[in-house]
Amino acid sequence: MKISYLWLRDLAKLPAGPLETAKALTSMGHAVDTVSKLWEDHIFDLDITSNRPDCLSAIGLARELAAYYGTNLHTRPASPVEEGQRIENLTTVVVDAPDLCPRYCARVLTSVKIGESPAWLKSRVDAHGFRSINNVVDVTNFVMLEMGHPVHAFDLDRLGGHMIRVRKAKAGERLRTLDAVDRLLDPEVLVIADQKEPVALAGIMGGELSEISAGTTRILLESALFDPMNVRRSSKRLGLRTEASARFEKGCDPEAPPRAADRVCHLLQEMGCVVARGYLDVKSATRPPAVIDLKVADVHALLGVEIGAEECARFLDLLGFTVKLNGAESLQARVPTHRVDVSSPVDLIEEIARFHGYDRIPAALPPLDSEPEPLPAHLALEEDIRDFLVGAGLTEVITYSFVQPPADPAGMVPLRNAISERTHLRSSLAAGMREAALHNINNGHEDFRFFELGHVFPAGQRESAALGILVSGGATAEPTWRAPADRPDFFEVKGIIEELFERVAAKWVAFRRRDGTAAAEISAGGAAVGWIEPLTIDGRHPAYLAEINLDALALRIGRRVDYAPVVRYPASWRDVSFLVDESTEYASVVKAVADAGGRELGSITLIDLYRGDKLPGGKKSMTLRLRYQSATRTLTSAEVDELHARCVEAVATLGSVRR
Amino acid sequence: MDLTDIEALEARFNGELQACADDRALTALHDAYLSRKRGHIGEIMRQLPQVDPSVRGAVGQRANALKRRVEEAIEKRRAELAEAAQQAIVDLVDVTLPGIRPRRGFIHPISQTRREICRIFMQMGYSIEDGPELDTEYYNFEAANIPRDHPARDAQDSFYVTDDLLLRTHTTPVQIHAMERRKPPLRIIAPGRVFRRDATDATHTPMFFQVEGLVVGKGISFAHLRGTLQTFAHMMFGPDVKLRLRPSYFPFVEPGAEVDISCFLCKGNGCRVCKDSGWIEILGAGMVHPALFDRVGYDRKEVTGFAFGMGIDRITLLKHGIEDTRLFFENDYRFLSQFRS
Repeated sequence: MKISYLWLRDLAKLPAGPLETAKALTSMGHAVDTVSKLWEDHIFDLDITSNRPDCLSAIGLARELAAYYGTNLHTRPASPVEEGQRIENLTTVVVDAPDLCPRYCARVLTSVKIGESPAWLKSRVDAHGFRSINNVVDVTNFVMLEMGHPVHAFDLDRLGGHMIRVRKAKAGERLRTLDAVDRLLDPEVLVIADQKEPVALAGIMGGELSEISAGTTRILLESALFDPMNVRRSSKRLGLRTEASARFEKGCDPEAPPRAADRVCHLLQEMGCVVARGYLDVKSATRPPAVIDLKVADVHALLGVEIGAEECARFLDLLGFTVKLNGAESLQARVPTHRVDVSSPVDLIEEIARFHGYDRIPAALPPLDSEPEPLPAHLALEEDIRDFLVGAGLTEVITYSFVQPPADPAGMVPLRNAISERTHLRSSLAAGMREAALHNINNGHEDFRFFELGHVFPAGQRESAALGILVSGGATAEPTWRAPADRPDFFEVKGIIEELFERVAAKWVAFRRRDGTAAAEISAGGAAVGWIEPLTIDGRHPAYLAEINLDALALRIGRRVDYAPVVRYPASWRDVSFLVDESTEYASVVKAVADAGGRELGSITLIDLYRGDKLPGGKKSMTLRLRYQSATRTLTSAEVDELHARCVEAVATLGSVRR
Repeated sequence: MDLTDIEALEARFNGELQACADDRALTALHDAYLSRKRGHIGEIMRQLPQVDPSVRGAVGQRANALKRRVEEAIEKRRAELAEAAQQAIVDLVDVTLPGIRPRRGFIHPISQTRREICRIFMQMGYSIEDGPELDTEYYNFEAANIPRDHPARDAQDSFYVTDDLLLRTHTTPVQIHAMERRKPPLRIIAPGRVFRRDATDATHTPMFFQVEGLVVGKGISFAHLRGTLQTFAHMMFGPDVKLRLRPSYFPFVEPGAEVDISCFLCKGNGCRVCKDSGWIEILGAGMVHPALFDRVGYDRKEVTGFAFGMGIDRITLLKHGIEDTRLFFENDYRFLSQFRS
């Protein structure tokens, strides 16, 4: 909100200049974002928190400053001289919805001459961001700025039956508001109506029909209270937020309506209008001002600094609370009506802290009375994966949790109120990673290896943690003087995942070809945990994408590292080469050999895989290097030969062994 | 044949030895002198019976000595040449050629900051909590003392999936879950992704990261909040950084505060980052509102607590002088690879 320094200075008789005043406001919780010079004045742009609608006004802020500097708030004259007819003879006000309009004050002004505002008024409303319209509208805006209470002026002679009825809209009713928009109203919207139709959206905006115009001579002035929640809902539903609705939806001083009306009348009277006798004040029972008991010990306990009862009382008194001290232990404070935000002891403690000064509260560390817990296992797993992958040369990306869906968004959860083409929650990390890849490729960078750790939201399932890997570059980042850059390769991605799974101690890891594709399904402990897929980015760039469901993986990892004694006996190696059908998978070869070799077969390493013209059609050649070792003794050459013969025999059942 | 012939042969050998530049020449030289059949020394040995008997013994001795010397000299020369050849290879090494580097990976700058913040609080005895990103209206708003139609919801316009489910707008729901699950005293931080329906610009993205902290126990006070944040600021931004707390409003805390640190870039002299104010806003904080304790079944007469929250993205921007928060989610390698970890 914008507010003029000179205005505040006049109202609060400020002893300080604009910059110091801005600092004081900031220190009290009314953050001044900018101070800009305007002629001889300075305009503060403030961030008023939503709990302090009373400070959306010059008097509200002046009241805070007067309390801060210990000065007296200058009161503005609001005592119009009434003359002529009584208001009851000129208009009537009926409130059909007292729950949504607890108070409605009306004044009538006659002999109105619509014209330009005096210079002081024009410049004041102008400095606060309002366009000067005419004397009547400017005065209502000025009083809203001054007192924080929105006031609306109707052309009395354009109100059907010269009357006001506050009611809910009827289905199908329409109203053309002052912003020249024809609005269809629903029955939840509270309206100000005349005898037959709505003339204003209560607390939000007036209608064109009853607008003050050049020919207006008699005015009905509305100064009312509206239910904050209803104003808020209506304004949201209608998509119409105004200075008035911004104040009503946060709550207004229940005592303000007659005062604001009088202030407007006073000012318009100075401009030649006649104020009719009396005013209408339709109100339902309002709550009496809150009275709060506060224990001084609670102030100390919550703030960690001792502030005596008298000091507390002094702060509250400065802020307009009516305080009664009960010895040194407690006090009772009656809340001023403009402080709609204060209703409990902790609210009072905040006021005391604010005035004591947050920066005067000492710093201390809390006692360590709670036992720290270890990092939860799933978070430890993520950290471990992150460290491993970064060490393995992959770079972490973070992509949006909502994505542009594919043509068929089956399995994805749509957002109800998306703000861009990213309309669905991601069900996989793939889309975001592709997007990151595409961005880099479009910017001339094709060589990258990315990963992301984040949540995915598959439809009908629980949100879960996932790891995505996208590999576009080869093993080295760039071509070197020793070797050209290589292409991404399925087996490198698989190698990264194998190494990672070994590091986190995943159980029973297996890769299975997805039928008819070059993709692999990954399982651990017998359950599906992820996949690897080849893909082409932008139709040209080969890459591999993998995704691991971390929640599923976390259930299938071993925690403890169990020490195994280092084998001290020597190992022997033997190689075996053989031809097998192309359809024979390496895994089946390994299984056959492992079964045959038993405990003394220490490891199986594939050291050559050959396909080519020299081989019979449909065959491939493999060479395994087998390591034989016993944990309990040195194997003799004859024993190794016998073990190896068994392994070779096992291989022979799958293909033809080459000598 | 006499001694002078042997001396002449030795002189000739010495000359030829010097001329040998490689292993092959040395082998040829070796054959020329030492070959049993065709070698010069062998020739002398064969002619020995015809030598005058008075000098035959001396000539034989000299010839044998020469044979030894030739053998040694050739071996020595061979070693010299081998060393020279080795040296020649070593001399080819250009240590200024680029090394063959392993591929490097980088931790996302937001993750780096998150880790740094978490590490500091873990040192102070905090436990880390997390929770779902898709949570209910109750945990995100109601339990955080932000009822429906509360003006504070304006600042947290949210993405809904159903009437009741939304992407969390802060990590406060994690705190609520933690309080429901655990008894006081507790001391936790909750880092994570949060979502707000903000238009995207240089300082706003509809997704960003927060860390919130919560301490609840007997006698926890605003002074403890202050001390904790001061310790954090010193560890995170340096021991000279000063803290400023201003009253502010968040429905889930009271008293509430906005917390600034003195600008660590300009030391308070004024710069672009602190908009010449000397202060940078880094977090919101306050004493836990008693209404939250009522919700989770803590006794508001028994315990008090403080809570704080900060934007990880914002701190990362400040730390590295990044001007546009959208860069975090663009994932340009040229950006990501600047943040060495």
